[in-house]
Amino acid sequence: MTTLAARALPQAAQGATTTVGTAHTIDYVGPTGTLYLIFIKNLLLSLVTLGIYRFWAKTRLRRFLWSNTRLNGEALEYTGTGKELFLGFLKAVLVLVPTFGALELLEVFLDGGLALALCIYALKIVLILGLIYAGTFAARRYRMSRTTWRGIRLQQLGSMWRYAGMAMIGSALTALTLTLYGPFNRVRLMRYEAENLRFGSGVFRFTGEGRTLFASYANYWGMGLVATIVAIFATYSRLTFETSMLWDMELWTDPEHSVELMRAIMPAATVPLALLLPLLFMLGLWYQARTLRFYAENLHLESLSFGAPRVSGGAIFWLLLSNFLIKMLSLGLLYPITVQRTMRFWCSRVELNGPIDFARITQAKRGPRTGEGLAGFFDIDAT
Amino acid sequence: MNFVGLFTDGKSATRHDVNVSLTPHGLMISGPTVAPLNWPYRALRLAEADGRHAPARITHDADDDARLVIADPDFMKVLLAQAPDLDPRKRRRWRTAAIVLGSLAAIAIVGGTLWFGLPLLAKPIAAVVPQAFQDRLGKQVIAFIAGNRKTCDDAAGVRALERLTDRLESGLQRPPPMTVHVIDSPMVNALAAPGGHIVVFDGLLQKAEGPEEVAGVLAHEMGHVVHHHSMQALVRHYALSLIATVLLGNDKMLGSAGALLIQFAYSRDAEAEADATAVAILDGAGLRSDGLSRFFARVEQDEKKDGAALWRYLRTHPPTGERIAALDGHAAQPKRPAGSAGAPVLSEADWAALKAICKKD
Repeated sequence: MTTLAARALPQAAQGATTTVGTAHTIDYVGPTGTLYLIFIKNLLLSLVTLGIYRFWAKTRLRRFLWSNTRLNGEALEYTGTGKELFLGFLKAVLVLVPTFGALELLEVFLDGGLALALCIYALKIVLILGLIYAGTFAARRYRMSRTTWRGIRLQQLGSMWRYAGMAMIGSALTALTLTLYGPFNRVRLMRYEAENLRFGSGVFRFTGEGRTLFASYANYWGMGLVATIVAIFATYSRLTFETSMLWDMELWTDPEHSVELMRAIMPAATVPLALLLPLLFMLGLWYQARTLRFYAENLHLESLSFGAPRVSGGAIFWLLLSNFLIKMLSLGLLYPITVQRTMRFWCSRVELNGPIDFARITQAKRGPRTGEGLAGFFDIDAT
Repeated sequence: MNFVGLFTDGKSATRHDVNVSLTPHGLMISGPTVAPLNWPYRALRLAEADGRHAPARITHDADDDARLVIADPDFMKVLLAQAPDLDPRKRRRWRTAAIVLGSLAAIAIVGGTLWFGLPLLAKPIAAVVPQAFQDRLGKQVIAFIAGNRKTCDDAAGVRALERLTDRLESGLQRPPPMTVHVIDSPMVNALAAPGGHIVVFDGLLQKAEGPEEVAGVLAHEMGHVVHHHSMQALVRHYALSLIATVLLGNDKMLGSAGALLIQFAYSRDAEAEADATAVAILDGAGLRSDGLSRFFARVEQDEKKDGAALWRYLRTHPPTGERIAALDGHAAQPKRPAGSAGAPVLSEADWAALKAICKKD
């Protein structure tokens, strides 16, 4: 027995370790050199195989990221394979290509005028949106089933179609209510995801309420509204032509005149828009950070509680901005560095507290055999 | 050799401290809280891809949820000495080679099937597509090409065009349904869409020096119609974009570039086929068959003279030396019925009317 080994294994108490204390650590320890080798190899092999290698490339990267993420010093493990992703993709293609091919043929065949064309168009949009949501959920199910810690799998229960239905109705309501329903929609989806998530037999719970998130959102929404109104007034006061023309509906309905009107408005709108758009972006980012903190602080696994108090809008803003600059200035050569920074950011800002008895957590069923086909088809990237 | 390790049995999240010893046949795992286990070397698997520096994570084929984690860096050396097949680098190299070779083989097979099989497949498929469906497709193609340009319908011009078309159709045993549209555009071009819809741009009518040249071009486009070339091209296009999606995912650029290349390769054969049929049509109708080659020759000359002006026609109708030679060779030894040589294609009046088909009243 070497002392080195004993030191390297944290909290190696005598015999079986079931209960860990109440403070848990999450660390990312991935070495940059290894990540670079993985990126270079992935890139070269993807080029040589005309992109077919991408499934194995994604798997290779995930194995690295997962195994270098440590919970209480013990590594997560990604057990998925490139073959599973590849087969999942083929499956999705076999189902989707005939479906969309048939829709296309239908469009040509039923040459029934505008109404029918619009119907088919709407059907296509609904179908694509539904498949994107369902695909996202299915990809999550696959990824969870291939994520283990101490040999115990995560498991995402629930139905991808139910999720897609909820997400689509929620999106429609969000659009109809000028996004005010947005936070309620987010919380509904969060709850569905979280309450159907298991770590082995351990059950995740979600305690957040839509109105809590709405209370924060209302502030951002109100600020955005005020800023937008101010920008509109600023534009209006800077107009150099007879403003009564703005209220002439006949001008707006005529395509040529409406383009001319827009052209006349643009110079006055440039400065207000240049101020408004970044402001709205920042408000969105701050709300995004609030949402993530809200999700974390309301998520529980048995008696464990998650938290992310240090995920602030400012921190996310600097991470995005600095990563963007690093990528741009290095012409992409430092891309792996940005991956490292992102991983370290999240692992150092997510907290896990509370007692848990791991002896009571038993293994979950095996997940789907193949994965992420739909998401792969629609190019939903979830590394 | 003895090492300390952490063992999880894959059934619960309880972590056990264990002692691991390497015997000649396998790993002996024992500890105060686990029943002794014997994992033979040949059934071992490394669960960790980066096993050389990180702690070794080992699992077992028959129980692949169980994990044995050993942090001592010496352990891997000792283990690999006992079970050299486990070396992750060696395994990965083989696996990567297999994926690359498999991918290349798949690309070769799919590519070969496309290159040789697609024309064989596209022909019968295009031939059995219902006429009503082709007609719809053709109309959509024409609406797209025309855009907001006018379709010319001067009454006298249309009559002249009909006369010419009827005359040419008489050169076919069983002419498929065909409609000729003239679009008011300066482009010097003509094309055949599915369903027998032929488009001639006004620019071509203005460029032509005499009805024989127009007759030649029309007969050539009729040749495309007879062989369902445009339908074949559509079938090929759909098949190719499907396969490109499967192979390349969403990398549309690469996919469409490949599709374009293959389409170009096919179009030469199709042009030659349409030429041959055009000659047969003209012969059958008792018309001079050198109009097309004359038109070609002039277009080629003009192109040399003023560069890009006419490139559109040349790009879609590559005038290879062979093609002109083939057409000329035929014109020199006409197989047309005796006595019909040089019969005028259209009367002077009809030719003038056809030229003016796009004129506003």
